[in-house]
Amino acid sequence: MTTPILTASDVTVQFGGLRACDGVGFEVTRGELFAIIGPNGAGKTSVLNAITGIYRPLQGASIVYCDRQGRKHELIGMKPHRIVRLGIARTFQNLGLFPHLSVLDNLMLGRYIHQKRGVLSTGLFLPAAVREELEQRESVERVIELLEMAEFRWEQVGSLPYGIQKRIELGRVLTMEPDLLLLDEPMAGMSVEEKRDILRFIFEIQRRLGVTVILIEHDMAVVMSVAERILALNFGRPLTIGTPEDVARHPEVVEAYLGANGG
Amino acid sequence: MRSRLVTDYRQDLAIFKTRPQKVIVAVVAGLAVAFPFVFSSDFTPPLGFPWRAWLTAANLALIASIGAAAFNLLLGYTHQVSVAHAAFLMLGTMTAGYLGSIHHVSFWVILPISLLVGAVVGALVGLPALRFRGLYLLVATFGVHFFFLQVYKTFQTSFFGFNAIRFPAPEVPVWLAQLGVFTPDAEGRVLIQGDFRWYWVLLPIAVLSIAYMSNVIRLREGRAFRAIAQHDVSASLTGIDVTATKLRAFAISSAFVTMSGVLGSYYLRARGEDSFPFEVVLFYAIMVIVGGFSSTQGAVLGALFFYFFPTFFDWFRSRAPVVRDIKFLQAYANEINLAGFGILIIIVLVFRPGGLVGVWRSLKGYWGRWPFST
Repeated sequence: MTTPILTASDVTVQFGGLRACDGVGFEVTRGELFAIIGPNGAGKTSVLNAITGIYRPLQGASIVYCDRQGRKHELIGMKPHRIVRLGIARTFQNLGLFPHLSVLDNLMLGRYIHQKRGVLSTGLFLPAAVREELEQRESVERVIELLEMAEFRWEQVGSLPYGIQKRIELGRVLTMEPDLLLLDEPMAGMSVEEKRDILRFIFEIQRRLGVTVILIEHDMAVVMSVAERILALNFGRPLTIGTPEDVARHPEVVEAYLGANGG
Repeated sequence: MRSRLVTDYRQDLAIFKTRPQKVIVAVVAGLAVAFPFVFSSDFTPPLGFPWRAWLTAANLALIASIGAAAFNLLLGYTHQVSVAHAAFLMLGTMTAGYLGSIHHVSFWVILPISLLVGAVVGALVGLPALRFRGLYLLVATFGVHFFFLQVYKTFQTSFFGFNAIRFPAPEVPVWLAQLGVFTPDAEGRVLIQGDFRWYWVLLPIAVLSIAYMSNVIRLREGRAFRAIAQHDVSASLTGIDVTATKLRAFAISSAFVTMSGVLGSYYLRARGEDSFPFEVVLFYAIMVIVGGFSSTQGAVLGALFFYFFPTFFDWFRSRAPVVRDIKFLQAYANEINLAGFGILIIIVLVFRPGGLVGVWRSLKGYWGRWPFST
């Protein structure tokens, strides 16, 4: 058994009197597609926010990330941009794009961490800076091709339809070339057809590029069919963790989703 | 828009991409070269219309365009509202006064030093100030202005007395002076004096500074600036160190404002504490808004407009038939000039939020689609 890429234990996020998540712990194996499910307000996004350093969990929590070289990093207390540089990328439930920038600029921002040239060499337009820019542009173009977005390249992101914007956001995290990808409801508000496209892309990312994916999703049919393991949350508390079949049979999960008499 | 064939990503990196753009650039460059020759001639237009004054206005506009572009980098692209503009102009004047007037360091050495000083002081000031956002940042930089004003007063009175800091006319670098184009004065020096010579000093400096800033803006760091302006949480999750990047924007902006302060000091030859009223930042805001927010071309156009409009307006007010007989206009010339800008800003914000650049773009779009344009 390889060491897990992410080990979270006892993650508790509290806002005033409200515990958004309470003692959540799980392990994600390298290369796996791990899903987090739960009704609205169950604390799924809070878990992602704790991993990416936006929320700071209460004392006692620990989130250990193991990078490609096998080095271990404690993520709690680390600034978001440092965490991202370790190889963790995420998307947002309600879009984290920059609406006034073009699709290309948004995707190029995904390459920010892979670029090194600072304000001196880019400002002076030195050959090294231009070369770097062109190299990054080429890798961005590969993502544009993969996600079939060539026709929108120069459009302002804010002017494009929602489904396309979701795809661009997925494209941006792809250009970041992460090891661990956190997807926060990438299919919310989409038509069946768009969902199928996104699913295809997620599979491609996970299988072909070997990226570990943590997926938050509401659509049970989707989660049950794609996830290898599932963590179910309710009111911030972990209900169960296991394969889709186990989770689907778990009485508390059934109750959380269907109500007390549903089972 | 007319399409063009791109066969290399390098083509997308060019500032001027299409043939019409290149033609326009060539025309503008030609005009910029011809301008000082035309407006330094002894021609006297009828009705007392200004002639040589245009060259003075152009020089002031060139100096201001650097400051306006720097202001725009911070406000227009990074959305950091700093009102400490005049503070960094003071810093430039103090740097020039200390090194140039006291220690007789060459003007050409002071320029790069002032960039460095501006960047370092900008970063030091930004370190605490950039922890604030929006209006709080405005108030913090408001404090910075008055802190610098106090420092400036102390500096001036302890080194130069109560009147003003005076600056010597800079010399043309030796290698250029020996080309034989210039006739040296009685002491064998070639001084940069008069609007014609200054124009040739200021034009390349302004062009280079603005080219530098627009390169920064459209490449890696600039994308980070623009990202932070729109969505800072999301920016930090693309790996951008938000605080450091804001600080970088602040340092670059301060560096160029400081340098424009040096240029202004040498060009105007004397600076006193009343040369740096708080309103200076409003003048730059006028340039950036009228020219076109978040556009480097806009900042340049705005600076030109800011100095050309009063030159024209002064003539119109004092010489144009009928208007020159209105006593009220003559008595409140300055106030009316400023009020004019105030009204103009309202007009721009309501009808043309894109400023002069926006007007230009819509004209371009209109002709591009003709005869189907509406």
